[in-house]
Amino acid sequence: MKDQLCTRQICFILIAFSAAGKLLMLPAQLAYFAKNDLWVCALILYLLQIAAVWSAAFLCSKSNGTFFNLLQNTFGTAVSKVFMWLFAIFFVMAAFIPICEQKLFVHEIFYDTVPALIVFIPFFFLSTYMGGKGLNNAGRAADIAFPLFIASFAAIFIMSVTQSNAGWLLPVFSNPVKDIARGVHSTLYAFTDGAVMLMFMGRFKYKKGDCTKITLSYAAGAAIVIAFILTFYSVFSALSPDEYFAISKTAIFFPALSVTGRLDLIAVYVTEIAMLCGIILYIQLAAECVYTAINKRAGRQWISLAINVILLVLIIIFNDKYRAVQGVYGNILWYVFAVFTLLLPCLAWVLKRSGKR
Amino acid sequence: MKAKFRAAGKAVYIIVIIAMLFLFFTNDFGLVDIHKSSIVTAVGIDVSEGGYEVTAQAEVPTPSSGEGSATYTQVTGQGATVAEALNDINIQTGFYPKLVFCNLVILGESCTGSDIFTVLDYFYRNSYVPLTALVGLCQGQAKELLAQKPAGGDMSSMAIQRAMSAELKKSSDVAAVNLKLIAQLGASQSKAAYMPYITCTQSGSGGTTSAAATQGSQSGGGEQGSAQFTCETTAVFSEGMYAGTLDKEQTFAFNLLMGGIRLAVLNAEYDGVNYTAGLKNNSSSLKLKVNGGVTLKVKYRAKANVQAAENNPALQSNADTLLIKDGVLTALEDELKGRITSLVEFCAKSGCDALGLKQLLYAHNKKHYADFKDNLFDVLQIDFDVKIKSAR
Repeated sequence: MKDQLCTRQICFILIAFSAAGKLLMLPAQLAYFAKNDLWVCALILYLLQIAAVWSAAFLCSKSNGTFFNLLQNTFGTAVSKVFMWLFAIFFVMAAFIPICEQKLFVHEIFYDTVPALIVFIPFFFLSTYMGGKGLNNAGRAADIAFPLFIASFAAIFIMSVTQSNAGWLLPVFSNPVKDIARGVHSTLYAFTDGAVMLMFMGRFKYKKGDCTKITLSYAAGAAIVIAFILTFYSVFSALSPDEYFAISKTAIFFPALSVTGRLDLIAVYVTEIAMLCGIILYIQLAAECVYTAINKRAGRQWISLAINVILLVLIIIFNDKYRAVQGVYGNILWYVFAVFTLLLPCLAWVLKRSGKR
Repeated sequence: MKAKFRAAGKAVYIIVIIAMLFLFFTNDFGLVDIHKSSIVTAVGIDVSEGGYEVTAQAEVPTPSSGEGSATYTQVTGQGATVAEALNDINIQTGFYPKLVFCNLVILGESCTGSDIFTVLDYFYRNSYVPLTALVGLCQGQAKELLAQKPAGGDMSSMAIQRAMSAELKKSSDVAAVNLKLIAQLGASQSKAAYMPYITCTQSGSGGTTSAAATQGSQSGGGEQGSAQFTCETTAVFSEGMYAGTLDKEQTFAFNLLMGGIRLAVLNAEYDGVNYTAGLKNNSSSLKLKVNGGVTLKVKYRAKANVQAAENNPALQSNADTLLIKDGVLTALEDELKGRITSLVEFCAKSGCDALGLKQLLYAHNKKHYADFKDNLFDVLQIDFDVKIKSAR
């Protein structure tokens, strides 16, 4: 298979796209369940995901094929195709809730006076276009988005951390284990990185040491998110569960902004680029799965169009029902996410490998 | 076939672009009729028998070619809740007072009979109210305070914000606080919050004002001097209810212990002479040590220089006029200890844990929290470690 990505782009995706998507709603949701121990939930989730990402990345060193090639070698074409469709559905599911979050974010922060669904619809034009371009496009987007994300995040983080009070995080481990557990499973849907790495298998040329680079990159993204979550709670403490759209709110107490106005929103806009690319990556992966499953009988653009139409219909149906959707994802569908993002990357090791390196 | 698809694709994108332009240009180019707009910069809340009276002070933009001289207006609405009172303002004026630029919330004295978190509830529920807005309690009615005319023609809200400025906070004179911090303190284990107590005095009859038009009820009338606002004392609340007011000295000690002070000015008497010292490089910390009872360790460090001395002019003193005698330093330390002791006694007497000691106990000595949370001030001992050194 022609390489669609390079190791650098995978590292950038796992840092920028992955981390950016967790800076919007996740901090408030974790604070709701685990209060000042929210970082413990994030740490547990990340340790699990790091293991899954490492597992998938290390498997890349043992085989040239994609995950679906391994399935085909072991169970045959039919099972492989079933899994392609299942992964396509999974990535559509994974894309749906962050799109809901983005819609809320756009309405509340950017277009506060025009709370209409139609304002958000242009996103689907972009996602249809990029979604049909394949993973090469995701890699190029990551090359562009990564430095922008790092610069903008650094600006927001510096402004936020100077106004934080770490004392609000004390005492540590003060909340019941069941609250931590609820926080973990209720937000598991935001952590899909093990499955994403599994899809990158066989789509880049593995070189010695790439597994370490990929795993460390993901760990760096984890460090970014956990540092932000700690800062977020240090800024808002008891108010944290109500502070949705965390990335746009933590910097507002920086004294200079009272004179200059909300200049931090420029950094938020830039971070938004990585967030949107991260969502579109799910659509690209779903389109890639379908494209392979139907033996390339339809162009990626048409598949992307179909996926985006499905997502648009879901957004229209569940408009203003974010809490209900989040409840379903957090209380019911988390099993699905655990299987696809944690179990399968580890179970992939038992598959028959072809084209051993 | 492929060419047809490409042509169709291009047509679709052209239609999409036209649709986007349609959305953009039907917005009247984003123009806003300034005659119909206003920017609420401050809100005053009074509790009345019928519910709440909310007074919004709003800047009214005027066109440069217009002849209107009104630069701000003040409107009062009434309702069972703050939100309903704000809606009443909408009915009276035709504009809905969005509070995106509201930087000041003033509670009238009547609010001391209510739970402040019930009074402020609207501001925490509304995601468009900035949590950076300053909060203060005032003498009398909030709407009367906002109706005062400060010297220079400013809006009263601007003058009040100056009286709560960050600079004054850094000099330990004002316990300025915003909506976010009040909620955080109220939700902590201490369940105590504070805010500056705003007082207004009239100075002569000088000063001019450009405030030409006010709507709704407004106090005052006739000849009136320019108003001066000060926030030297601090109102404290326990479990949302008013618990008392820290005097000027207690407020000074409170601010010093809360940290973030750049330059504080402290007066002390030594050998019958008053010395005013500037305290720089301030650092303070509070720690609780549990040893059968609870000891509050107050650590404070600063460097001082004499800014002025009564009956002891610099030109008649020694060559190094900035050098402070050890006795003066001791007097300063004793003065500070006295103020801190007075502050802790106030907390014990009022039952208001304004210093956040219960939260401190919970955060650092959680295993002892249950033992002392109800009788902390009964068993509390103070251990001072206050050292003020000469700046030279």
